[in-house]
Order: sequence, then C-alpha cells, then structure tokens
Amino acid sequence: MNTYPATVVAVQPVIEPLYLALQHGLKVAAEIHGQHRWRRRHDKQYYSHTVRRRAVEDLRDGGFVVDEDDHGNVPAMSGITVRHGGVALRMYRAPVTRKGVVEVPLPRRSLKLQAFYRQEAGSVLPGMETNNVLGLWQDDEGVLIDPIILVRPLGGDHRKENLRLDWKGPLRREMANYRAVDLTALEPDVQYPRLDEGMTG
Amino acid sequence: MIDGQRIAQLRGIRKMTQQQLVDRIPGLRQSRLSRIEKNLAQPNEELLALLAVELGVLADFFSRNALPTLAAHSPQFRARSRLTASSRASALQWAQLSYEALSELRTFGSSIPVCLPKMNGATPAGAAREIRKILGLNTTQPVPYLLLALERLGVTVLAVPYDDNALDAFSAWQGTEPVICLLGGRPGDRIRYSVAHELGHLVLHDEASVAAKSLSRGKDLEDEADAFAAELLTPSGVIARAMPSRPTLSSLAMLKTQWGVSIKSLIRRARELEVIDQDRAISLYKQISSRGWNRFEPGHVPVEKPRAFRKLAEIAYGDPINVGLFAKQRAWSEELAYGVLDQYARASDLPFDGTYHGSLIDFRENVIQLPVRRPKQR
Repeated sequence: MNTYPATVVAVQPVIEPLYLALQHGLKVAAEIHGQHRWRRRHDKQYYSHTVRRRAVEDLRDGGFVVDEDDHGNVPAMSGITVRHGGVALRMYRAPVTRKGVVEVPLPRRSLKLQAFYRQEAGSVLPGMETNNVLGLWQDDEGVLIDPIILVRPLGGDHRKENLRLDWKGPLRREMANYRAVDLTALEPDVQYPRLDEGMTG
Repeated sequence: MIDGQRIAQLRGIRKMTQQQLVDRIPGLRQSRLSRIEKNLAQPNEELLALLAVELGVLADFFSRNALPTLAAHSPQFRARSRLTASSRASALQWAQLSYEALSELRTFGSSIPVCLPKMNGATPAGAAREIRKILGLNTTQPVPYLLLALERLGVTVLAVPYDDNALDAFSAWQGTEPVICLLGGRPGDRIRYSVAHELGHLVLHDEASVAAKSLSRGKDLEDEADAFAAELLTPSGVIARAMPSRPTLSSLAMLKTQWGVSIKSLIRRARELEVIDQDRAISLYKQISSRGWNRFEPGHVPVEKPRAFRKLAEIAYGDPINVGLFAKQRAWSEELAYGVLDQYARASDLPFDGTYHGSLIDFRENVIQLPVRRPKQR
C-alpha cells in the first residue's frame, strides 16, 4: 500500500499544482530579490521561505490541504506538508553536497519529525495512519528541477548513520499526465484499412 | 415543414417564456408563436432564420425528428425543495438534446452492453455491495473513477452545460437503458455523490415501484438512494476502521481526498456507524460553519466527467473533433456544440487509477528499493 507506485498514484492530482506552485514561488522570490538588488547567497533561508509562502498559498487556493509548521530548528522549506490521498508529503528544498549529491535531510532532534520519519500513526493527524513521504526539490538559478525526489523514510535522528529509508524514486512532472484506460469497449463499427498499412492477400 | 416542439425545446433550454422570445423578434406575436409550437401554423423562411439566431441553432434544426422524450419516463429527480418547474423543464430539455445527439453518434460505433442489474426489494447496503463486486472493487478500495466505471457497465451518462443550484442530477430507465444526467458546475465530491445516489435509484427503484409508492414515500426513496450511495462510496466495514476514534476536520479532510466524498458526508457516515456521538457531530458541524467550509471545503477531489459521448464523437469526427462538422450535422451552432462537448472527458482528462500500463509508465525506472538498516544500539 505504501509502495512507490501506490504513492505516485495517490499524489497524482497534486503533481501539477505542486510543480506550478513551487515554480511560482521561485519566480516571486527572484522578483523580490531583483527589486532590492539582493543576492540570494546572502540570505538562502529568506529566499526559500518566500518560495514556501507563495507555494502554500497557491496550493491552498487550489483546494489542497497544506500544513505549515515553521520553527527555526528544521531545514528550509520543511514547513510544507501536503496531505492528500492518505499521503503526508513533506516538502524540503533538498540539501546538496559540494559534490552535487542530493542528501536526505535528517529529522535532527525534533521528536515530531522523528515520529514522522518512523511512520508513527498519529504523527501527522491524531489517531490516523498516514504514508509519510519526503519530497526533495531543487532549483537551478530559479528554475525548478524536474524530477522532485520522493523518499519514504523509516526512521532517523540527528545522526546520519541512523537514517533509515524504505525507497527513493522520482516524482516527474509528466506523471501528472498518466491516465486511466480509455473506454476501449467503444470501437468504430467499421475499421477501414489505412493506405499506409499495405495490402495483404 | 418544421416541428414546432423544437422551438419549445430550445425555449426550455434557454429558460425563455414565449413572451420573452416574442419580445426579441419584431413582428411576431405570442398567439402566432403558440400556434407554431402546436404545429397549427408554419413560420415563413425569414421568421425561421430569426428564431434560429435567437435560439442558437441552424434553421434546419427545427425540421429534425425528435426522439421520444425523456420526460415521459418520469425520472426521479434529486431535487431540493426550491426546484422550479422551469428549472426542471430546462434540465430535461438539455438532457433530451444531448440524448438525441448521443443516439446519432451511436450509429458510428459499437455500443456497450448494459450489465447493471435491477435489484428491487434489496436493501440499499446489500445492493451497493453487489454493485461494488460487479465493478470489480474489493471491500477496502475507494471507487477510483465512478463515472468511467459506470459507463463500462453500460450506463448512459449525459452531462449538460446547464447549472441550477436546485438540482444536481437525475436518472431514468429509458427502456432497458439506464440513463443518468448530470448538471454542470459541481465540485468533484458532489458529482460522485450525486452519481452514486442516482445509481441507487436505477438499481433499487424501477418505474413501476416508484409509481406504486405514494408521494408521501418520496422521502423514503431518497433515503434509500442516499444509503446506497454512502455504502457504495464508503463501505461501512472499511470506513469505520479508517476513521480515527476522535475524528477532527483535518483527519476528515484527508479521508475526503482518499474516498472522494465531502467532509459533511463523512461526518454523517461516522454518526450512522456510531464512530462519533451526537455531541461530536454537532461540534464538527459548528467548526465547519465557523471556518466557512459550508461554501468551500478544503480537500481536492478531481472533477469526473463522462467519456462515452466524446469518444463516440472522436470516432465519428476524428480526434481532435471536427466541431464545425459535428455542429452542422446536428444543425447546432458551434457555440452550442463546444458547450456540450466540454462537458465530456477527453482521454487526457481521465484521472490515473493505477491500472494503465502504457509504454510511458515504468515504475521500476530509477526507483531504489533501499535495504533497511537498523539504528545503532547505544
């Protein structure tokens, strides 16, 4: 039930709005910095939080249920949790190492986040089991990178070696276009051969 | 030679009285229009052209033969008390217009055999469980795309570009064919509930049983259809377990996105199944009111549209549909044709239900199944 394919199916209606919201957030953050001639590298947190602010509002306007949980002890963008289809999708701006490797952020000493990583029932909604998944996004000079990386954690704390993961896979924008099987029972009464199919017999 | 009823049909669709139509056409009197509609007089060519312009069709439309009217089959309306006769007539005329077009389109393609059983006398919950089996759903699974599933059972689903707050949907057996008509502009969760409710009418209440029951039992019929819809969309055994012992609006909003039903329906269901007591239900309803969620509930449920009508039009007129030709052959204006076709899903609109195995999808691609590591013992 909490496999990668099942998770993608569950969050599919969120994919396109999520990409649009994050991209809009990046645009707004770039505009604000541009107006004031600020440099992004001087205030990485402010830039990311501006992205988050815009993205949260866009998602809410689209009717999605989005949580904000802003406290200073967590990585940037940790405040967005989209709750949809039994999945609690917690969005992080992915920390990237100097070698360009995307790292899975640690829950650190936050007991709430540790419970989220452990998939504890009630860690997101009281008395309810949820499939807790991390969505790691990155941008390249203000352009959102496709795919967002989905990671399903199983536990962790402030130590890297204690991080336990179930699976990791891409959430591509094109996945928003995956569709159900059409009404295959409806067929033309007469199927005329096409000229380019050649003749037989 | 025109059929005067066609003018009355289009007036119904546009919700115009005879007088309102007469006021727009110079030289026409109500008495003459009335005679034309009753086929006691024929309009001249100029008047016919003017009528066509005002009513949004081509003049040829008035000469087309009409199918037997859907109104004759007394559809069970899911109505609120403020539904007016003109709204009811308008909805029926829209349905009639769409049904005629669908009947013509069916000559271009194969039809889907009707596999929907009639279960008069069954309990609503029992009938809903049986329908879930026929749809191939297990007892724990939400219905992924209700409208497509019903069309696969041979249910004709019409969607009309007509919005009236007093009416969501209605249904009827047209001979051996089950027909559901949906009105436009509804959110996804409400569409699903309305369709499930109408399906309940089709399965549980045939024309004879409805006629046999007195008017005072009308509410009973509606209650039965509601019970059917609730069991179909949220099976009692599963939804009771899925709900937390003390549901909050946040947890109900999550369930809404999983099961595709409104938060208010879930509260009702929780109360029926005694997951919550009366006080808790009242408290939740009060919270909904205070947050203004009675008008706009959070929790996204994709809007479902029927598919068969557009698919047949694609078979007949190509994909993308040659709307000009489609409109011309029905003697509709292109605006009317676009308005009707927009109510039906394109192949690209069908939401993903996890059953598609096209070449694009390979979930194994780039997915890393990670070995579980145990935390160090300290």
